[in-house]
Amino acid sequence: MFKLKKPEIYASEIAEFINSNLNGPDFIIREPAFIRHIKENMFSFLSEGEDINMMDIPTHALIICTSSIETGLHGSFIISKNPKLDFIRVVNEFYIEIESYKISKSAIIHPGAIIAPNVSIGEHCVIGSDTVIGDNTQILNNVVIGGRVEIGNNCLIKDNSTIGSEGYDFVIDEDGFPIHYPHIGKIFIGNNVWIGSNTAIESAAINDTLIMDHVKIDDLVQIGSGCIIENGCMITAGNILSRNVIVKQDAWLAPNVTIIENIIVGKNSFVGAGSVVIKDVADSIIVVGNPARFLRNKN
Amino acid sequence: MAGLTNKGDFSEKISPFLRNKMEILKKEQGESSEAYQALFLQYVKQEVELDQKAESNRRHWEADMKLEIADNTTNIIHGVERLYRQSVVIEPTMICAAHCRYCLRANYDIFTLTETEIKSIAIYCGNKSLSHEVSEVLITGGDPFIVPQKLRFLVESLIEFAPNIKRVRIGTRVPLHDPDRLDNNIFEIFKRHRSRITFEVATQINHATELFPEVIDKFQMIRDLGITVYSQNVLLKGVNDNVNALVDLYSKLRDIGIEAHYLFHSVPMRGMHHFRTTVKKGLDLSRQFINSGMISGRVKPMYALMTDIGKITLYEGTILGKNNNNQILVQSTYRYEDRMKWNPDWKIPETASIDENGLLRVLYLDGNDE
Repeated sequence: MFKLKKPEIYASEIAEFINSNLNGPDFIIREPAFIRHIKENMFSFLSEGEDINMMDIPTHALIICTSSIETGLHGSFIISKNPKLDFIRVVNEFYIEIESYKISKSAIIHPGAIIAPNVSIGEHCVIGSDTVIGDNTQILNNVVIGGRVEIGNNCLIKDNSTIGSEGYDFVIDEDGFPIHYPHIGKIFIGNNVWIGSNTAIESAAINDTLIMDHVKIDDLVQIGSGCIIENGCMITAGNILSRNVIVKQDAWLAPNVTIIENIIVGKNSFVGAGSVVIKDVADSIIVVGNPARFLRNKN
Repeated sequence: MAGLTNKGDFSEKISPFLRNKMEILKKEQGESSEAYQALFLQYVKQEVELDQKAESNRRHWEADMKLEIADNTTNIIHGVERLYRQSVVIEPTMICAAHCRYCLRANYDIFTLTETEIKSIAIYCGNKSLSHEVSEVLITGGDPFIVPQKLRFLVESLIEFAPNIKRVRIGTRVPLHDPDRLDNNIFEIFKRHRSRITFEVATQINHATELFPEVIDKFQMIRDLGITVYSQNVLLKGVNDNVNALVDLYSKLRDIGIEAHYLFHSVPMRGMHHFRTTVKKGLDLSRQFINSGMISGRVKPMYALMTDIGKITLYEGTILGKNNNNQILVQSTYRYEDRMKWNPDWKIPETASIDENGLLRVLYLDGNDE
């Protein structure tokens, strides 16, 4: 997706870009680095709590840090309210080159699919007839999109993910045989959504599945039919959401959380790693464990 | 003055690419060669900039728009100007890859707009009061090619919120300052949106020596995408104030498919007096190199002044006279009434007046040929 490039950029220019000042001498910065591996002509950031005295910072290296850390620094540094965020912004703007969009020849796209301009579709993808894909969305390799699916603008769908494949839902009949419940609903995915590798979003039963703007779903996640994931939620790796789960705005699910069906996870709440959620989670609280229990309120 | 809290210390900034080229030219052609001097004078800071001269302005004009940002806070967005009917000027960053010593924005504060601010500007460009007459934006700075992600966000925000914008002109010297920085991040913006927007790239090339092979390659890559490239140059004493230099420059621009636009007389601003010829010398040079048969009429630039009220191209009857303070009185066809309609925040500068027909006239400080 991105190619690292190594331009020769003055440290002062990095400061100007994040609307701050350069403290210390000005010199060329060629690449970003992790703080513990920083070398000459590189730049990095320092988070609260990291001990600068334990690190070997070269003379011609640049650090983005908060004002509370500044006193321990001797070389060149830039004060920032959020060093990690500014570091990412600088890397994005100066040190990566994006790849051109393209639709791979090996991709199989149904003629009925509606694909907006500037969409990238990787190798061996299969795109079904009832699919709509918005502008600037990037679909990596081996992705399967079927059923009724509408994807917004500027999304990223990573390798091997499956969206809209028939949902797992059975009713046992009088003779004890499982009868499949046909899934005829629609999946709506908003703008700026990230869907990780090997993630499966089941087709919707009757009620639609909604994944709203700015939701970020990690690798290896299962989203059951009829789920509603509201704006800005973070669903990290290994989460399993059964059908009809509602995750309210800005909630954060740590890795390997399992949520049983029809649960509501409250706005701005946090569910700890490995938790099993069997009852609703209130707004702005932290729950952990199996079964998930209240730990404390979230600031 | 808006946007002028810095101390006026315009630092020297020479990109590693230019520094390397200067070293090669110095070694191969000598320090006094025209080619080396063309770069040295444009980029190396000199003590003469500090001389107290009549050129004391810190800005070339005032045309800032006051906009409130979208979240209803009272912050005023910088980086938006409007002087002309159909266009708005947007400055997403004031950073450049190198500092041209005669830059008319040398004394501006350096800032980079946030995405929230960029979005507000795009919404402003598409609002009802503007959308019927504004169809073009000039994205300048600073250098917008320095910040390709911001530029892309601005272009896509304009497409979303200001469908009245049909043309986007982008002012840049990155292809000359540091060609390696012009890469797919920029080309993708053109490729993705050229079917909806007519892009034009405005650059500035003041001497033929600046057209190194790496520079020509990058301009060719832009042109290969169907983007028009044009150059608006500056008449600079010691760099290009002779007929041969101008003939050579404009011939080479034609060879590589770059259109000639303005040739500006150097702006009367602090620290730039040593670059400034008289206005008359520029007229004489234009006459000599354009009407001498030495160059094709296809590449004639328009000789113009950057006055306190905006650009004025010199035609017969434009210059009305000269006073004892070395100021030329210049007649424009800008209407005061229009200017106030387009930008209600605009204030008529002290050097300007309104004539009996409602047109603006302005005094422009001349240079010298010593």
